[in-house]
Amino acid sequence: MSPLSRRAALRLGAAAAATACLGARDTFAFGDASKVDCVEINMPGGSISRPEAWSRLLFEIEQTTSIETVSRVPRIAPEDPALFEHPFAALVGDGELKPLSDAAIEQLRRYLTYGGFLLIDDATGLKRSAFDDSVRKLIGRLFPTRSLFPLPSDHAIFRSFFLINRPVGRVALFDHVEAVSLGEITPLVYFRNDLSGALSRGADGRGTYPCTPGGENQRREAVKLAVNLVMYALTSNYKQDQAHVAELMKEGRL
Amino acid sequence: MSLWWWLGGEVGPDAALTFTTPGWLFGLAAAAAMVTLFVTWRDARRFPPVGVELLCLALALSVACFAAAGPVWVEQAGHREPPRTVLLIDDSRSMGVLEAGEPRGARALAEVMDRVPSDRLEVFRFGRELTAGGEPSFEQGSTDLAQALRGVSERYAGERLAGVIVLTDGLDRGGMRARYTNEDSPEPPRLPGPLTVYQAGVPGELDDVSVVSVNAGGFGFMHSPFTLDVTLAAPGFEGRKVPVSLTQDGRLLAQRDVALGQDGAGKVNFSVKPNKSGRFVYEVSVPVWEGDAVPGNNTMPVAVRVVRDRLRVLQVCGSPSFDQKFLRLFLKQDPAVDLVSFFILRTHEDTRSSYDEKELSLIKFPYEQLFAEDLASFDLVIFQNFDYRPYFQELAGELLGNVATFVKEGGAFVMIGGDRSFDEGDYQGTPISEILPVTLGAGSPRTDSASFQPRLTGPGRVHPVTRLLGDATENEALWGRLSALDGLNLSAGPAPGSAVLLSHPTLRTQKGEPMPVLAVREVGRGRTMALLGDSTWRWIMAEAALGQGNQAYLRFWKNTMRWLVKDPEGDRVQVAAARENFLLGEDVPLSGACARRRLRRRRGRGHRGQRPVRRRGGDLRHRHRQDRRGAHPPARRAPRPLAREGEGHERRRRRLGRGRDRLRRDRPRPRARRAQPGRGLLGVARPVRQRHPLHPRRLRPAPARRRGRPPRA
Repeated sequence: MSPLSRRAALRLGAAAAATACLGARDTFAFGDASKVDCVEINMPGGSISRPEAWSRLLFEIEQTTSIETVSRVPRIAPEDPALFEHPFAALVGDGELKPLSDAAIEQLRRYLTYGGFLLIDDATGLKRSAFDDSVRKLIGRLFPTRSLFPLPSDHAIFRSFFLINRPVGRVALFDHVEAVSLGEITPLVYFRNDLSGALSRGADGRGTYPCTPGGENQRREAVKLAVNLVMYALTSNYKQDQAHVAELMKEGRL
Repeated sequence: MSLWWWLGGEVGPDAALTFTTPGWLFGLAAAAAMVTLFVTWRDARRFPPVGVELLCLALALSVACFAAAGPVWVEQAGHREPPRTVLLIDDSRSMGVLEAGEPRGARALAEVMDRVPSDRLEVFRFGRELTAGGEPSFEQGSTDLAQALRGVSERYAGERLAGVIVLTDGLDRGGMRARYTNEDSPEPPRLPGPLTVYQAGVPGELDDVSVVSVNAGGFGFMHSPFTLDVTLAAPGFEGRKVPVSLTQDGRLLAQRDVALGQDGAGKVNFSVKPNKSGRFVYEVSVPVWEGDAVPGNNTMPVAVRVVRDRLRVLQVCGSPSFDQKFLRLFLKQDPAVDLVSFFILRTHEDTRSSYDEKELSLIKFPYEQLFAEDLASFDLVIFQNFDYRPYFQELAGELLGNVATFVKEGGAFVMIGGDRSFDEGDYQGTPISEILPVTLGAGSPRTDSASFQPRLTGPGRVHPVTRLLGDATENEALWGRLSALDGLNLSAGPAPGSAVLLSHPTLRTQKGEPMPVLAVREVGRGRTMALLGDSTWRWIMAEAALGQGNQAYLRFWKNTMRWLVKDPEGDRVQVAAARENFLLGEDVPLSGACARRRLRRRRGRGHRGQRPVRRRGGDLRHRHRQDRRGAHPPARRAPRPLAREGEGHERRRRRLGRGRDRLRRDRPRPRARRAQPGRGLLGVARPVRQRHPLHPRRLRPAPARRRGRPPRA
């Protein structure tokens, strides 16, 4: 074995220090209980499970932002009270959702009213689908007096971490995101470009599904949007505070 | 003596015979006599001679009938009295104005008494009510001339008086003056004799400087100036300059010279910027000059209720989390809160992805501006899982020292737990550790990740922060069923002078005390709180899962904010009067609420001492009568919940007429200036709020920036 050169030793030391720094925070943590995770809602009918997509998203958040995450993606029925332990929830589907019981609807409504966040992701990649119809019926039952509306381009979701110009997923059929707002808060987002499809990756680290028509650049934009959604779920309209708007405008980024 | 006389007619001008027996009774007796006479005559026909006997019998019966008629002999005799004279003396305070060193009423009364014979004179004093006799004191609070004349008419109804003499200065408050001024032909009062009026006082000879009115609008906003409009009247001092002083609790706030006009009138206004909420008494006064007729009207207090427009809160969070999310939602949804949030969205460690800075919507974390320039503009600063080291480790002494100074001079500070807080944030040895309610330096480990149910301590049972329900038993039961917390920042125990409100059920400090979970402390004029966990958000979601709503969480944080900023609405003892001003001698109903069953009302100078006031169903009711002019603060004190942790003495004030009593001094809370337009924290087009120029908060400016990569928020 050749002796370690001075430069090699310095590089090794720097790498060790960097590794220590990167990993140091985990040793401080309270534990996984207080970290951010994602729960999948298991609805009867056409809901599907893509835990690898949300795990990938949580990893990306951990790498990119200061949010502490844990790769935990439980799958919970809407009437399960355990839903309230996970304020960020996702519902992915590609088929018609069967109607929920009144108790499940009431619980979902209470979840969203008291601070939970629900991302509904249309995995069909189609402009018209049975899933879309059933989602609109579901939202009609959840919020009879409020309707889905396209989020304006200056909504905090599009600037909560990244500046998003066009919301895309595995596909890019729709240039907008629909949502339901309660006052200044938007607790329910309905995305129809198959976000989880863009996030899903196989064991080899490659995307499970090809993104069309933009390829990997589109996937990258989809990841950025997904990060923004989680960031919005945690910070709500923080990025619409005057301090941020003024500063971003001053720097020419808005 | 005629037959008519015998039938009850008048015999002479002053004598008459009257029968008192009812006519039917007399008729009955006469009928009985006739029957008796007839029966006797019929039986006596067999035994003559009967004429003499019948005559005698008839006479006897006639006498009996006359006697039965109840004859009364009435004679009238007497002589006429000369009519009386009534003197009505205006006993109001305006009659006590000094003229040539003597009350004008006394001078006028002496002149009247010289002219009116006193043998048939009856004297009454009147103010709001009519009082017979007595020496006038010229201290009654009002003048109601119509009421006094009406009282005389009723008292001497049917009698003709020689005269009614009124001695007054004409300052009628009962509406008579207004009626004669406003009506074309007002109905004059009906009097039992001719009216004579003596007017006291000589127009043009009165020298009096007075504060006529002080208009403050009744309320003001904290940190925003409001105006006190003062009107002066000074007959006899026309054209002179008068110094006008404004004081609060004996502390001189401002003084101005006012040039009086040719009519003796003057106006001046004062701008006041209150730094505390509550009710305060401001007093406007002018000096008492030699020859001043009424020294008592040279001062006038005015009570002003100062309310917060909005509570300014700075929330600094080291990492977005569910706990931060729910606290922000609570703060944003409270219309009384003006929230400025800064969340660290990316640190130096979070650069492992290849995103360009231009793709990000992040801005620089302006920590220097926050903690060196704009800190004083906030009422409450929250460090939520915030680690200062990546941002200003080299400036920690200065910037964290500013936070400590901010608290000591009246600000509020909260540190919320997490993996970047307390010992994890390396706050030990920094100025922050001096103001925290817990002592840092727990050793190893620094955190405990096991889930636990916090336990309400003895102080926590009575402290307003942890009083989520009014009933103590129900409150304790509620804390027992709230969702467990996920983990805990460990500490070396409570800091001196602090109170632990929630503790860990099993963990102990090195001294063997229960490990603090929630602790509070008073530091200087400010207050601090340490919440050594980061999962209170579960109190919302767990309760919502049970269909209970989020009231426990909301009440906890609302209580916390009220206590931290010393909001009077959060005081455990609330006392209020029905209105601001009362006349002397008038009943003053006081009402309020107390968290304890028993309250001692400590009375001010000249009062008789403490008096316990019992509550009924949580409400306090008390009636009080004040006989001295001025502002009277009912100082009240409930037993302190803790030996080391006090609620302080809360005060409310009410004003009673003019003048004031000495009030306890409130400590001013000096504040430095707020952000200036163009260089403020947010660059918001917000009205600039000037701090009190005499008491700037001593914040140390941050030195020039040194090296280090800017964190992004």
